[in-house]
Amino acid sequence: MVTNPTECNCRPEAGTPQGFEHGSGQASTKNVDELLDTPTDSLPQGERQLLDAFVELADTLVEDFDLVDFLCGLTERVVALEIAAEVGILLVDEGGVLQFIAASHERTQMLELFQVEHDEGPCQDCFTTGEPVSVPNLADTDERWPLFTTKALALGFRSVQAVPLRLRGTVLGAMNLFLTEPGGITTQGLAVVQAMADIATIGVLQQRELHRAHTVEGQLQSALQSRIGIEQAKGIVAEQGQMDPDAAFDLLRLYARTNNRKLLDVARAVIDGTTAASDLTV
Amino acid sequence: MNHGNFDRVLGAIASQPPGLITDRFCAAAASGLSTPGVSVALAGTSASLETIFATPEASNGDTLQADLGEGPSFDAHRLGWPIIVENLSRDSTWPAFSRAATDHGLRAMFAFPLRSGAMKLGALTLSRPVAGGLDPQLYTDALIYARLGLDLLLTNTATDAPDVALEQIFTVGADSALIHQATGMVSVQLGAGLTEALALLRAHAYASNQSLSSLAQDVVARRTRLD
Repeated sequence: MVTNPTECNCRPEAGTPQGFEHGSGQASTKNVDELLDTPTDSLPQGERQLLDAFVELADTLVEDFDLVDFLCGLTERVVALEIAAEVGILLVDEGGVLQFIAASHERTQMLELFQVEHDEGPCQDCFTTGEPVSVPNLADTDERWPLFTTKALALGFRSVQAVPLRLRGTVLGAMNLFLTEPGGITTQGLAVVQAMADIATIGVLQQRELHRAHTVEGQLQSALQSRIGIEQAKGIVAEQGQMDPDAAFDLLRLYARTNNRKLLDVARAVIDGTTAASDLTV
Repeated sequence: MNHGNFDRVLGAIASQPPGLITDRFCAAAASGLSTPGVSVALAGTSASLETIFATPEASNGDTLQADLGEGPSFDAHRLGWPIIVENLSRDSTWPAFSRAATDHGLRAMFAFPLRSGAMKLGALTLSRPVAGGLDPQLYTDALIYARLGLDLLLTNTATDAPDVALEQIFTVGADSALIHQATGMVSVQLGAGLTEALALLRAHAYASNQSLSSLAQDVVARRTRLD
C-alpha cells in the first residue's frame, strides 16, 4: 500500500482512546485568548489541544504507555496549536550527549542531529545553559551558529525557539520549535511551550516499567533505548518495503494507531519477525 | 562534538598498561568504579550467561549465578535495566544466590544490561566486598562502561584483532540513528538477526577503513549493500 506521510502527522481527533469530546468551543474563548494570544477563530482548537495534552498525561499515570509515541503526539500538539511548524525533543544520554527521541515530523530528526553533531545551535545552547533560547529571526544570527543557521534557512525555517526539559536543578534535554516565519513565539506561547516541555519531562520519568531503574539517568537511558528499537524497526521495514526510513516510521506509527497498538510493540513484532512490512496495512 | 563523559572513560582505558583491550577495559572499570569484580557476560542460547572477560574477583559471583540459575546479572539482561544491590546480606530477591554470595564475601553488586534497542547481548556486572551504593558519578560511568562493553563484545565476535584502535572499537556519535537503521536494513539483506547485522557492519567498516557512521549513511542511502 501507499502511505501518505502527511497523514500520519495528523492526530486522529475522533474516536481516540481518550474519547475527549470537545463542546462548541464558545465557553472560555476570552480567557484562552488572553492566554494564547492567538486569533479568536483558532481558540477552541487550541484550548482543546492543550486540554488533550493534559488528559493524555493523566492517562499515562495510570496506564501503560508508549513514551516515543507519547512524545511524538506531544510535539504534534504543539504544531496543531500553530505555535511552530515543526517540533523535536532531545534527551541527554549517559555520555552527556543529546540524542533524538521524538518529533512532529521525522525529518526534524535530521536538523536536530545536525546541531548535536556540529556542537552548535539553539538547542545545544539551551541544554548547556538550562534557559530558553529565542531566535526570532534566523537570518540575523549568522555569526552565532554559522553551520546550523545555513542549514535551517535552507530547509525553509526563519525562526527557532528552544526550551529546556528540566527536573529541579537538572536539565534532561530540550524541546525545539522551528517556525517558517520570522518573529518567534509570543511570551504567552513560550509559557505554553515550557509547560509542554515539562509534560514531556514528566512523561519520561513516568515510564512504569522503569521503577527498578532507580535513577533519572537509568530512565533517560531506557527511554533512549526504546527509540533505538524503533530506529532498528524502521531499517527493517525500509528494506522489506523498499522505502526510506522516514516513510517506514510513518507506516509503523499509522499502523500502530489504526490498530490501537503501542508503537514499541509493533516495532518489536517487526524485529522478531512476526510482522513484516507487507503486514502493515491500515 | 563534546563527548565529555565518554572521553573521560575512554581516557581511563587508554591509560591502562598495554595489553589486551579486554584486560584494559576490566582494569579501568575496576579502578575507576571502585569495584574489584568486573565481568562482561554474553547471553547464550539457554537462559544462562557466559562470562567472556572478567577480573579474577568477579569469578565467584559469576560461577554462583551460573550454578544457581539466578542473580542480578541474569535479571539485568532479562529485564533490560540496571539492577542495583547495595547489600546482598539483606537481599531476598534471589534467596539461594544472595546467601551463597554473602558466604563468599560479596556484599554489593551492580548489574547493567548490554543492550541496544531490541538487541540484548548480556550484562556488565560489578561487585564489591563492602556494602553500599554507586554514587551518581560512578553510576553514570558504569552506564558508559556497559555501552563500551557492548561494543567490545561486538568487536570480539566480528574481528580477531586485539590491537585495533580504541576509536575503532568504541563508536560514540550523533549519527547513531543511522547506525540503528542500517542495522535493521542489513539484517533483512542477510536474513540474520540484529546482532549479527551490527557485528558485520562494524567488521565491514573496519576492513574498509571507514567510520561506522559513514558506512551506515551509505547503507541507508542504498549506496552500499552487505549481502
